[in-house]
Amino acid sequence: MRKLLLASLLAACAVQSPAFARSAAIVNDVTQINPVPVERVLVPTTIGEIVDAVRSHPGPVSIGGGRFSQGGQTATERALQIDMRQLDDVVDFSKERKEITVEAGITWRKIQEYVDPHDLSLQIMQSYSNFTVGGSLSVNVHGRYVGQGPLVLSVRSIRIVLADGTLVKASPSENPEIFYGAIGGYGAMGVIVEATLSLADNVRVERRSAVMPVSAYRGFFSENVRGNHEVVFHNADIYPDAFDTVRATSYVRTEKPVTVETRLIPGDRSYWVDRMAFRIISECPGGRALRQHVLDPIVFRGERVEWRNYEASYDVRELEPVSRRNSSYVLQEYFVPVERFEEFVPAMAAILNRHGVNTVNVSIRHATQDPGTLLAWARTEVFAFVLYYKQGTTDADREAVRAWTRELIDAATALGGAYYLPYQVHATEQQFRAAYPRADAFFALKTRLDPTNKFRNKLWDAYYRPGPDLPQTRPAAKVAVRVVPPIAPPDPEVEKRIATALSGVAGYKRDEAQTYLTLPEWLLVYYPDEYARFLKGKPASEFPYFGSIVQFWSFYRDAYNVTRGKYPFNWGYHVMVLVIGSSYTVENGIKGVYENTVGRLAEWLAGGTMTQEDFLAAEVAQDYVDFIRLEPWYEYSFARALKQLWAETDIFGPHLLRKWERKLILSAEYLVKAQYATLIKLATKAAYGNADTEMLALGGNVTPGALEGEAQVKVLKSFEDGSVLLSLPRYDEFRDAAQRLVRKGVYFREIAGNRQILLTSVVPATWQYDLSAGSVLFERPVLTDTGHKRIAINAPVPSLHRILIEIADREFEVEHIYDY
Amino acid sequence: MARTQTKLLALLPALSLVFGCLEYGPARGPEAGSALMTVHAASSVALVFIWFWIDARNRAYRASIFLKIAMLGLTIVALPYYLFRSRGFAGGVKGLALSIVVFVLTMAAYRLGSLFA
Repeated sequence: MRKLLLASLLAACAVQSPAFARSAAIVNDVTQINPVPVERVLVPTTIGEIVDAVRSHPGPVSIGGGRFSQGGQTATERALQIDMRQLDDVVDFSKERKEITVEAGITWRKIQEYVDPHDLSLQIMQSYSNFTVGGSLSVNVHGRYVGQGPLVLSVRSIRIVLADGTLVKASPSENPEIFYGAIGGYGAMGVIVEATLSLADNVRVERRSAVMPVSAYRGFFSENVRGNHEVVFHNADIYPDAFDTVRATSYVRTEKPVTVETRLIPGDRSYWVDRMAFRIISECPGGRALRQHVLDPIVFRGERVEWRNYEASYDVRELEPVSRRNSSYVLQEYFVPVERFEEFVPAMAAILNRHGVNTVNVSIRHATQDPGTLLAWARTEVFAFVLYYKQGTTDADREAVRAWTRELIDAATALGGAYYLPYQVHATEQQFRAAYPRADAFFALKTRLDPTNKFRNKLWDAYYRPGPDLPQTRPAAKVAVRVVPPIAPPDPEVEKRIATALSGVAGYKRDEAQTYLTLPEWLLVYYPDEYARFLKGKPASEFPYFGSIVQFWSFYRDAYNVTRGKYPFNWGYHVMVLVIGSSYTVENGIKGVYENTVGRLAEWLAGGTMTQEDFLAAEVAQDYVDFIRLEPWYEYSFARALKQLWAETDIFGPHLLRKWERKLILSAEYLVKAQYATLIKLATKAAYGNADTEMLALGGNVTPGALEGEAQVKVLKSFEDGSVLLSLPRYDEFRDAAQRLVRKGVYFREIAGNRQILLTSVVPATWQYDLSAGSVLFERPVLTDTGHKRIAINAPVPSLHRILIEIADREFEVEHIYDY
Repeated sequence: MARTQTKLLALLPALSLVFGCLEYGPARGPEAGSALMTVHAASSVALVFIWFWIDARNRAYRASIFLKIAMLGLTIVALPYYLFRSRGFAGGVKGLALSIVVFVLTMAAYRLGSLFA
C-alpha cells in the first residue's frame, strides 16, 4: 500500500509518464560534499523504462541507488541519472533453494523484512541495511561475515541492461565476463536491474567481545575466528589515536534464548544517543579515551543473544551528524593481505596522526579471496580497514584529505593491497592501477560493451580513457574538488627559498584560525551598525534585540566549529569573545526587555513622535559605529555622549514624558558603558597589549602602477620570481586596499603566511553562491533587512583576487576581510 | 558628618557647572579623551566614593572590598545596591530617588554651564 501511495504521488508529479523525471537536478551523496548537476533524473518503476531510456538518451547515463557512495559514483555532469530506488520488488523467492530474486533498487532492509518470517537471512550484505542491492553489487560490498568475502560470492545471477538497450542475464557460468565486470564495476558496464541472491539460516548469535593489544590480534583471529564455523559475524575496532589496542567482537551461533526479542532493529528507532556519542568521540577533548575506557565497556557488558537478522539490520541514521554544513563524517577503506597486517597498522597510524586526522574509528573486517571480478579488492585473503573520520567541507579541507589519502593508498598498495573505490576520488591514476591491476581488462570489456562511453560517473570520468573520437573524461585530480587555479603554480624550489626568507620576517606569520575567530568580534560592529541605521527611521522598541543575541552566538558556534580540531584551541581569544559576547547579551537582553515594556509605553504616549533625545541616540549610535570600525570599542567616550545628551537637548519640550524617559534611560546606558569601557580597557591592555597596525602579505604582479596612490601599502622585499612582500594597513583599510589592488591586477599568494582567509558580504537573500572560487561557510539573514543575508566566504588566498572581483562585478559589497 | 555629606553632594552640580562652562567654552563641547573630561569624571567618581565611605562609616556598614571597587568602577550599579543594603527597601527607594535627583541636578548644572560659556 505504501508503495502504491508513493507511486501515485510520483505519477501525479510525473513529467514523463510512467516514469518520474525531474529535470536539471543536483545529485548529491550522503556526505553532501559532492554535488553534481545532471540533465535530469529518471525514476523508473519497470525494467522496460530503463531499456527505453538507455536506448533513447543520446548523452551520458549514470545510475544511482541509495547514494551512499561518497565521491560522485552515481552521477556526472549533464547525465541522465537513473534513480533506481522505485524498482524495488521481490521477483521470486524459494525457501527450499534458499534463494531470492529481487529488483536492483530494493534495499537490504526490505529483503530482510521479506525473508525473516521464513527464518532466513541474507548470506552476505554490508553492515547497514539501507543500501540498495544494485548499488551494493556495483561496489561489490562486504560485511562482517566470517568465512565469506565480497558480495559476489552470494550472487547466483544478475540481469543487466547494456548500452545498446539489450537485457542480458549473467552468472558465473552464463556471460561470466559481464558478471565479473559488472559486479564491482561501479555502473560502467550497464544498469543492473535484477539479482538472484543466496540466503542462509537466520540463527541466534551470541556476542563475545575481548580487548587486546593490536599485536596480538592476528594470532587471536587465526586461532578463534578464522576457521571457526560457529562464528557468524566478526569485526575488531582499533582505538585511535594510539592505534595500539583492539576490541574484537564476534557473534557466535548459539542455542541460548535471545536476550533481544526483536527480530529486526525497529525502523523507527531513535538514534540521538548514538549520534551524541559520535559527536563526543569526534569533537570533545578526551572523547576517544572516553569511548575506549567508559562507553565501550558499558556497551559491551553482559550477555547478549540476538537474531542474525537483527545484527544485520543496522541503520545508517545512527551515524548521521546533526548537520553536514561545516563538516561531515566520511569513510575510506583499505585492504591488506592478512599476513601484512602488522606492517600496515603502524604505517596507517603514523599517517593519520601526522596529518591530525579526526579519526572516529578504524574497523577491521576479514574477507576471503574474490572469485574473479575484474576490479577485485580482495585479490587474496585480506583484512579490510574501514576508516571512519570527520572532515571539513571546504576546499582546503578536501585538499588536506587528498594528501593523506594518497599516502594511505601508497601504504596499502606497497603491501600488495588495495583501497576501496566508493569513496572520494583522490587517488592518482597510477595509484588506481597499482590497486587494481586488472583495470586494463576491465576497460577493454567496457569499450566492447559500451563503445560510446554511455555509462559514466565521476569515478570513471577520472580513470577511464575512451577512444580519441569519444567524449573525453576529466583527469583524476579534478574530480570532486572545485579548484580554480588563478595563478601559475610557483616553482617548488623557488617557493621553498621564499618560505625560508619569509620565516625570518618578524610579524609575518599569524594564526590562521584567527580569520574565523575574529568574525564574532566584528559582529559587534555590524549589529551596532544595523542598530544605528535602524534608529534613524524606526522606534528603538522594534529593533530585534533578542534575535541579534541568538545570531551572535550562532555565528560564534559556526566559527568555532570551523576551527575545532583543525587549529590549536586559542584560550585567550575565546575568553575575549565570551566576555564581549556576554556583555552584548546582557546589554541587549536588558534593552530588549526595557524597550518592549517601558520604552513602548513611552513611545505610545508620545504618539510615535521622535524626541530630540531619540535623534541624539541615533547620532551617538552612528558615531559609535564609525568609531569602532577604526578603534577598539572601549576607547569610545560614552561620557561625552552623556554630556551631549544633557547639554544639547532641551530640558523641557514636547512629549515631556518620552523626553525624560529617554534622558534617564540613555543616561543610565551611557554611564554604565563609560565605566565598563574603562574597566575593559584596563583589563585588555593588561592581557593583550596594544594591537598592531600592519599586515604583511606575499603578492604577485605588483607593478609600480598598482601601487600608485597607495600611501599605506609598502613593498618590503622582492623575490626572484617577481613576488613581493607587502605591508598593508589592517581592518577596513586592509579590505579597501585589497580591493583596489586586485582591480589593478595584483593577486595574493599568502596573507600573513596563510592560504585561507574569511570574508563576509551582505548579498540579496535569494542569491545562490556562484563565484568561481571559495565556498560559503555559513549564512544568516540580516535581521533588520529581510531582503538581504550575510554570507561568510572561505576564500583560498590565491583565489582572493578572483572572488573580490566577482563580488564587485555583482555589485555586492565586501563587508570585511578577516585579516587574522 | 551629615553636613559634610550634603556638601559633597552639592559639589557634584557645582563641579558640573564649572566643567560645562569650560568644555563649551573654547572647545565647543566635551572633547573625547581631553584632560577636562578625565578630571571631571575622576572628580565626580571620587566625590561619590567619599560620600559612600562616610555614609557607610556613619551607618557602621561593613562594605566588602568588592563593593568598594564597584563603587569606583561601576558606580551606577553599585550605588543602588549599597542604598538598598544599607537602608532597607523603603530607605533604598528613597535613597535611589534622591540619587536620581542629584544626578539630574548635576546634569542640569552642566547644561547651565554650557549656556554660560
